[in-house]
Amino acid sequence: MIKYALRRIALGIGIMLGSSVLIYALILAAPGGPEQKFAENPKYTQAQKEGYLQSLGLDKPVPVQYCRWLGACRRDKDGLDALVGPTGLPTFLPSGLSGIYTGILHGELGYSYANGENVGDLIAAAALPTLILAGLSIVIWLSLAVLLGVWTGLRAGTRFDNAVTTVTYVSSTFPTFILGFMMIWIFAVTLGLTPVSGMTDGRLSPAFGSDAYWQYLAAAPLTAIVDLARHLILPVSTLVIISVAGDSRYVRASVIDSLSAEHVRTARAKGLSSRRVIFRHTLRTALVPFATNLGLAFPFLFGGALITETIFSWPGVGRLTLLATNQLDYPVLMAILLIGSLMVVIGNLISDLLYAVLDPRVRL
Amino acid sequence: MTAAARATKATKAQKAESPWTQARRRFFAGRQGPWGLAILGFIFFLVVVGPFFAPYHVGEIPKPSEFVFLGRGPSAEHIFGETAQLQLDVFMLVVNGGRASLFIGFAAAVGSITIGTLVGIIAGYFGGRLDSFLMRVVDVFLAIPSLFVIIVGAKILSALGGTGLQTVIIVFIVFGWMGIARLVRGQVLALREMEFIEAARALGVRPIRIAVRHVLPNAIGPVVVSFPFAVGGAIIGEAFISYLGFGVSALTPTWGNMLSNAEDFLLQGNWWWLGFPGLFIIMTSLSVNMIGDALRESLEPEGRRS
Amino acid sequence: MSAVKKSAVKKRASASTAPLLTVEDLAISFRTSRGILKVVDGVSFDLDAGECLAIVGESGSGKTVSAMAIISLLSRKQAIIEGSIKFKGRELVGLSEDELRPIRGGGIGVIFQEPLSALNPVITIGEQIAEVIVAHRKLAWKEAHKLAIGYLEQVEISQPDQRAKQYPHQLSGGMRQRAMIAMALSGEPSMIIADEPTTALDVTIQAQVLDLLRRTTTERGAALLLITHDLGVVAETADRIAVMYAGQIVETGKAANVLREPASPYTRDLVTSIPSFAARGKKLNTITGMVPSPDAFPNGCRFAPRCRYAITACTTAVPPLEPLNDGRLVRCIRTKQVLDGTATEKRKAPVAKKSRPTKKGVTR
Repeated sequence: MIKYALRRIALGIGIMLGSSVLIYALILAAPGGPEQKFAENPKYTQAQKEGYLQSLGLDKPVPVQYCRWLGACRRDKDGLDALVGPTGLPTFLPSGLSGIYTGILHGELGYSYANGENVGDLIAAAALPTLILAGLSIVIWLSLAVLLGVWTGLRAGTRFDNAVTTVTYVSSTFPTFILGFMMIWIFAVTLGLTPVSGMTDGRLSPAFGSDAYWQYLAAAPLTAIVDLARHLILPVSTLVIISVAGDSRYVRASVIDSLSAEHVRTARAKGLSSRRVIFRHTLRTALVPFATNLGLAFPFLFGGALITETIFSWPGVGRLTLLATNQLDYPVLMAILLIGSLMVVIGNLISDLLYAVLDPRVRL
Repeated sequence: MTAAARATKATKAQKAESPWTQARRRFFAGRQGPWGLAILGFIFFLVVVGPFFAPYHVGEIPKPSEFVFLGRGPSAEHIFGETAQLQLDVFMLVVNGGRASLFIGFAAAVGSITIGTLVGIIAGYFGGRLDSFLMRVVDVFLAIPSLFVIIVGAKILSALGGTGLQTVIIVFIVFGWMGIARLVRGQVLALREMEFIEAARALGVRPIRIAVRHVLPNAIGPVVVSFPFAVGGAIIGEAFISYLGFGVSALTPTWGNMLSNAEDFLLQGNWWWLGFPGLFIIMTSLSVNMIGDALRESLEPEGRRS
Repeated sequence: MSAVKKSAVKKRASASTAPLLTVEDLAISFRTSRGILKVVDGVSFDLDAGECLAIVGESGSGKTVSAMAIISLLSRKQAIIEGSIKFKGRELVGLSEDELRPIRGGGIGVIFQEPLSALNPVITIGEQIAEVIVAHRKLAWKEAHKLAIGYLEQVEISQPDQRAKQYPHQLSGGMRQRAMIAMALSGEPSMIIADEPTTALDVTIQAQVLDLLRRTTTERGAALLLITHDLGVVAETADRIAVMYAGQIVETGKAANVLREPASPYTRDLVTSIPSFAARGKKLNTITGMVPSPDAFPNGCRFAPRCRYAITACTTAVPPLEPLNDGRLVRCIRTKQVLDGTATEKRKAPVAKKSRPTKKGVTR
């Protein structure tokens, strides 16, 4: 089991490396970068331009630039010397061991081209709203999906099941952002029940996440939370409606498969109580594949709500990505893509491990 | 009829139809498949024929008979109503936009499925190091969150000078082939071990012929099933990134950029500019899903034998 | 049931104590998309305590369906069961799931054909045995686990305490089947139904497992209902045989009698088609034609289209089961001539059949 886990982790690290290369290559191909600022300006001499590029390390070959960006190569040395840190240990080790503080591996994410802020801070500030929205949605839809899926699966073929299945079928084919529009149109515009967009009511509270906001929260917690809740209703509902449909169908199919499995027939033939047959035998095997869904929910906490955030103007990671893309703010983009990949890899790891815990046949 | 004759007749009747014929029969026997096809066919028809019936062509800006900033609603003259500001005919935009959207959908699906199938077959058939390498590449591509990278990729490509349509199609293909590759590889791996392949090899059939005549027809199942879903995904994806402004520019209408332009006027009361393209997106998505599900059930029936 | 047959049954019944299981005129139909198909028609047999009855037939003969119907393991929605099944004098047909539960496992145990799919893959062997004990003998789990290890010992599994903690996929095929036997025995049933228990095993293991099965049931005075298509298995283990074809019983009697001198043409063909070492070098005997499917049963004797001795009278009405001198029951109007050797054969004996491809391209 431990060996299995270690192997998956090693694989994950390899994949992260691969995706960092891919991301770097993607951005490399993109137009616009520091040298463009000087490319057309005749006031700078060629020597000045070259000097600037050299200071940024942009005159080095691409693999070296990549290595420095990653943090596996020192900036102040060349050749193989660059691979060993001041402490004498290899540079890719954590800062405490290697003495190196630059590069992605050591937490240096760069500074935004657009406003010069530390990328790490920017992302952290955007991650909290996303976490609130996505986290709440995931908890609600996963529980609902399991309940609904098990309920309809056990009663497959009944009129209740058919009704639910038709509804979930239609809503699972709905594109998220169209549902979002419809929700806004119906509930916010026509009925006026909820705010149209945003995370907080600008008339009541300061922008979310700012220092002023935390003071406001401490001073008037109930008002702040109610305000937040009102703004959460529509986006959360949109996300939940779309996701519950698909996941509950998945659980339902799993339950139906499980019910007709031979070992369930054996359990019935043994005269076990129907509660034991359903819970210990049927559901136990039916929910194993669903464990993978749990793992996949993890990356959702970072980047999954992009569509919803856009429609509801939610100040989260999705919106940050859009802004950064429009401005070709590469440091921010690279960091977002990297962190997103990391979350995907960790999510896969979680679901692999969960699967191994739940299904002993997998532990090789 | 004598008993003997009836028994012989029963034996003859059990002669197998080919799997394709069986699948086709199952497809049309259900309700999903035919309805999905009908709806999609209707949309196709509208999109192909519609522009000839529209009041004018794309790019022409007519002088409306009455100046209304928000545009007039559905009427006899403009069955889908008018847009705000320029008061363009929404029907004309929808059917022309449909051409672009459907084209993108199909082109992206064909491209990504072709690449994915090739990769999957190569990986599955040759196995070994090549297989491991290719699967790692798939893993790496899959690790990057698709929405993010599609947006970034689209922006970069368009900044480099691609036209809207090409950009979107290329981006979808480059980041959309992985799922099919895995599916096909799985099928090929399973098939490789099956006895009829071993038998063919033992009989001295050449590898190329085995691959084409024996493996491919059996591995194609998931490919056929995935195709409609890929089309649907690409159409919705295009709609979304055009809505965000990263897709096709507004000079060429697509359902997506119509949504983007119409959004601001929704709150002011113009629901038809957003509603009709939205409706078409929903119908396309629904019909394509129905076709895909019906295909899946007819190619891999899950009936429980009593 | 004819008067003659009734008296034959009564004769056997009064010879010893009442039979453990009495099946009378069992008819099973299935609701399918093609209408209601009668798959099993008028099946009757008895089973006494301590004896082994083998139900023999090809796939499609209805033998498994009949056995599963005894404890109502068929889908309630699709299967219609008519007739009478009496276990220890109590009528089983029509009982509800709750009423059947104590009998399943506690009165009648079941062993299935493929243990890898019949056993639950995510639950340990020990627990799968213990849960039967807990369900039927009302003991605590700890006790039950200890007893489970005891049963594993009885079925000759080495290191039973360790095996009990393992999962089905960690055992070999033979051990898995032994574990299934242990599972069936743990409810201390009066009767065990074994559905093709050795078909999925290697030939060398088959003999061991069969022997084990017979021994453990005899030791307990339990009855064994063996469902199989393998006449070799039958010869080893069974006291009596019932031969089924196309949903009907065509011959029953003592195993030795039926096998040595089969009275019905079908049984004859079955017995002669067994490849024998003595007949090596000669062409294999086959039965021409195919088993009819339930929607196309012929009028009259269902075997007539393929029968060597068929005459016109065979196709007009279904022959009833008639008793022979040695207590056997046979469903054939020409039995006497067949046994005498005076029956005229309509077709040539299968031995001489050439296997040249016909114009239709089918080789038999």
